[in-house]
Amino acid sequence: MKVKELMERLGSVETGKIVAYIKDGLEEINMLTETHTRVETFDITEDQRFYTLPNEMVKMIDIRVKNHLNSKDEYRSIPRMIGQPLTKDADEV
Amino acid sequence: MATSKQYAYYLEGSKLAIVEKDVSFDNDVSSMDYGPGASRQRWESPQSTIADGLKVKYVYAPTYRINDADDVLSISAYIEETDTGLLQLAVTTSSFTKDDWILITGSERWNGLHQVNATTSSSLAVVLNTKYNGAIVSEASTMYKDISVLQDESFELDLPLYLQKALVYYVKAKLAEDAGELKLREYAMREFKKMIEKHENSRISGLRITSSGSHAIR
Repeated sequence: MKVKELMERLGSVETGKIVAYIKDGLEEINMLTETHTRVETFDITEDQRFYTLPNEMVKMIDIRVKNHLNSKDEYRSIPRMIGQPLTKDADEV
Repeated sequence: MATSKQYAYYLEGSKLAIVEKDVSFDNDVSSMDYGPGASRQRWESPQSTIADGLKVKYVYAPTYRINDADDVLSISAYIEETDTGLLQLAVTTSSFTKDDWILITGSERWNGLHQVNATTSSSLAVVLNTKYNGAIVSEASTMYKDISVLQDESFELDLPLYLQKALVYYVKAKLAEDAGELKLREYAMREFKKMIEKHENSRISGLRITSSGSHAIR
């Protein structure tokens, strides 16, 4: 379906407004049911603790790290830490 | 052979913090931390560099379509365009038209849609409408050039057919909300959620089996 057909179903001619609401709707749909997923790969850098999450991310599904609890170069899901570790990141990067 | 490690994550603002369990035995008798295995319990920043070590799987809203997945360019670095304070990318030789949209992937900071600020011809750099204030950063990432973006009536929605009809109800609910017709808004929103639920259930059939979790005892 094109945006034009959706507007005809609604009887609207306000393109800007409808496009804005469609964007909201697409985000809402992906919060409720995952239609579009993507895997982004990052390098882990020694002593770098913080990594920027993608701007387009609506919901995070999984975080996997190479060699987590294995030595076969497998990517495995890592757990979320409750609270923060005592050892702070010295350079805050 | 690679060594086994133990990682965990937490969130700080909009950033993802990765920590690794330090299992090195480096007790220092003059330190307050001295004690059997004291340092083994410590979670610290990653202990080593691992290329492609982290994979983040996420959901995104399909507000664009990649028309040609082969029409890609390599980005080698980004820098602040000094006059305007906009983001400038160092790319392989290419031409761009003002207001074109591009999609960046594989970057630690700029993944997603961006709009071209000025027309260029056979250039090694492109300036985007995105604001950036900072030094030059060398980082390899990829740019998709041939994409359609949701901005006018000609955009073809990239959703399953059933969810396209649910989307109509969502927009109807928002328009009713604007008009102050709250009963209509509630009705349309209920229909929207009902259709989402039906779509979810339509994908599940037959018997189910549980798999052990990633942290289960093996």
